[in-house]
Amino acid sequence: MDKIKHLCWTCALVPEELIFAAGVQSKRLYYKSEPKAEPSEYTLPVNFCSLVRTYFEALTIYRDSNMEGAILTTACSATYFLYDALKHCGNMNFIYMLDVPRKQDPAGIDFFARQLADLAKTLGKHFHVTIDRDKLFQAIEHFNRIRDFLAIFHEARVSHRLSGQDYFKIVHLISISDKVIVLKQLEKIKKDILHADFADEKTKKKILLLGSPLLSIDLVAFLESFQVTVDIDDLCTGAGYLGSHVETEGDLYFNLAAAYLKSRLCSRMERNDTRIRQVKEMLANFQPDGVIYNLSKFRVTDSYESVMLKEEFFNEIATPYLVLANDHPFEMNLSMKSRLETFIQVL
Amino acid sequence: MNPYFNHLRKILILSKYQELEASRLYTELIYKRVADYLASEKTIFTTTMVPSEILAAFEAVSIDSEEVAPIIESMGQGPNSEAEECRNAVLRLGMGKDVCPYPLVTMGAFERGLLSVPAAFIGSSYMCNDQYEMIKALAQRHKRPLFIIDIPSWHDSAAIGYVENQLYEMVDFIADILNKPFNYSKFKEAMECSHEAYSISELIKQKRRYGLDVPGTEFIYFYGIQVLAGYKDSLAVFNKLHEECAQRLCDKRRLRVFWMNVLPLRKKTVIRSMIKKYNLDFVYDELSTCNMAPVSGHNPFISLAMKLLSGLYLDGIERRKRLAEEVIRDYQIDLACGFSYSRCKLVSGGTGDIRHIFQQAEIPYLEWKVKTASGSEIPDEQIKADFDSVMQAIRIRKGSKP
Repeated sequence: MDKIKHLCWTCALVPEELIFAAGVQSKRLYYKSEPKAEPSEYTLPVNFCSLVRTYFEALTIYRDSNMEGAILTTACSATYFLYDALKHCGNMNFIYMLDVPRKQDPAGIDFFARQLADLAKTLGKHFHVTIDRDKLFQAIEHFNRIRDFLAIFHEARVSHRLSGQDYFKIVHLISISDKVIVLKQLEKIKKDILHADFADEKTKKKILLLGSPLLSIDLVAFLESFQVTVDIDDLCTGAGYLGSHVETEGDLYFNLAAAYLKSRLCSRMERNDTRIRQVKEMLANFQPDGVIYNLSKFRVTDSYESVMLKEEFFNEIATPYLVLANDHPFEMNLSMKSRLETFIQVL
Repeated sequence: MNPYFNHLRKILILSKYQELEASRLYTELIYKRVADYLASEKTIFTTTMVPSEILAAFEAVSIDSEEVAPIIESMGQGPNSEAEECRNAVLRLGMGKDVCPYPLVTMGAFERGLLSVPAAFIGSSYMCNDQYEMIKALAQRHKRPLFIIDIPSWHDSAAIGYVENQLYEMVDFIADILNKPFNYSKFKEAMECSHEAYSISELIKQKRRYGLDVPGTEFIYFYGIQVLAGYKDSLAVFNKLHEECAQRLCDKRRLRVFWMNVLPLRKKTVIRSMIKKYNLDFVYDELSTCNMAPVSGHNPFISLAMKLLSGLYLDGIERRKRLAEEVIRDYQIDLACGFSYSRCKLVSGGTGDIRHIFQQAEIPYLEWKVKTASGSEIPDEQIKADFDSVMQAIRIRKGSKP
């Protein structure tokens, strides 16, 4: 059983390299599948972002004993609420709010670099280590190796040698595993993919999944059970994870900041016109038969974006578009299954 | 006739009956801003907490979302009200009902033609996700240029530099939109104006603690004034307020009520009636003017960046708790009350945070849980009944006649 302390993170803009350099394991926060419990009803109101409510439950009620704490980001106003709620009743040893700028210009990168340096300092103080340049360099090199693997798997996905759910599982595996052990596992997966016979994915209908982070494979698995292939490039729990390579020359904090801010970013970070351009690029690359916007209830950013994209899709782009509002934990209820089946049938 | 503007005109007419001239000046100021906006072509629409000093320096014709949604909300309640029609106009676009109704009303005002489409939109990430997303959506829908000023949560030198840099960009953006050069001396004047208004508001606050009487029924109207920092008319309101109240002393026997957060316009009438009925000293100004800050530094851009970073909402619940404790102690508050908007942390903190704020305070706390910022689901009768029972209990405890 894993006895090593670990830190959780909730947003793909948290550079795990820093946690790794502190000698601590990092894990993306996924929820447990137990039914909702009452305490979060008490602290966080029912009409609050369902994703954030789930995070609160995972960090309090269902927290495993090895979880030392969590790193959150200023992704939205709901996370401020989460931060305060955790500080007051989360009973956590470590809780850090990383300030992520919305601007990706040099000033934004410089600001983020300083926030990362502060995070490194705080981690060092808490875990009684010094995160020096050498440690950070090694951590970046290590994660760049993981990125190399991810690039291979993404390529396999693009060339239809991997299904959407297989790709999702690999990303999930990396984000929750010991980052040293996972390299060996990735090597094995790579060999398996290279030597395996593949089903012909090219003939299948294609669906592009946009919107809120998917913390469960259920939706992708359900869609792909209908001879459909699902692209999860837009999701931070998909191809958005870990982003682009981090340079190892010069100021490492600046390099980390630049790499993370310049990766494919979510709707929170981007202006609407940029997001529309990104979605259009994905449409051009993937050429899907349909688009599903996965919308977590009470998640403000995605509520606005789903409407904005709907207007674009109706007015300019001739691709069927479905907004799928769901709760967290994700539940494939009959009504949702029926809507999805109908959508797939009409593609 | 534009019903929104018509309603604003009615508010202006009624403001003549306010006790203080400052209240009337403030209403007139808002009225003039909206009138100019509706009559002009090159206008700018902003969210709350955009640095208005820069807009003032450009003499830009602008209004912000706080001058729209609360006023439309105050036009009436019910399924056929203007606010509901505005919301429905946006819901018809496909927006879910789970989105905060305030920005929906603002967006709906554009959909229904109550507001003309401006030349550009400027938003701030300071306030909340809803306002931030609203301004993005408005710019996209109406195909107008958008400038966003991103305000970090922590205040360090990196954050100041980051915001300062954006202020220069904002100046270029407005100059481009209005086709007008930036006038640095006017900016300095606007900054002086902003600083003086801050100083007067601080002076009034200090004097309030030692017995200066600013009638609560009047001061309710001053929320939102901080968004007009930098304007001479706004400074005139503060000057007038100070002048009018300088000789007014509060009767020490009056009970003091601290209103914790934003008072929805729809509920102002009932709250005013309670203030009058119980002759309450209504302490409301501490939080409502909390976003005013000194801007007297040598470099006005750095000063402005520091002001934007000093906002109360960014600091989280601990600073609000300290502020609330200070108010309770200094004003010798008898009762604290407020709405807790379940989703809007920035305005109220929600139930969990409010409990945290008041759990140590040895004063009664009257809380109305509401799901929307308009507070319309709480009937006026309930507010009256709650006040009646709590005031009776307080008076009994204090040994005065019920």
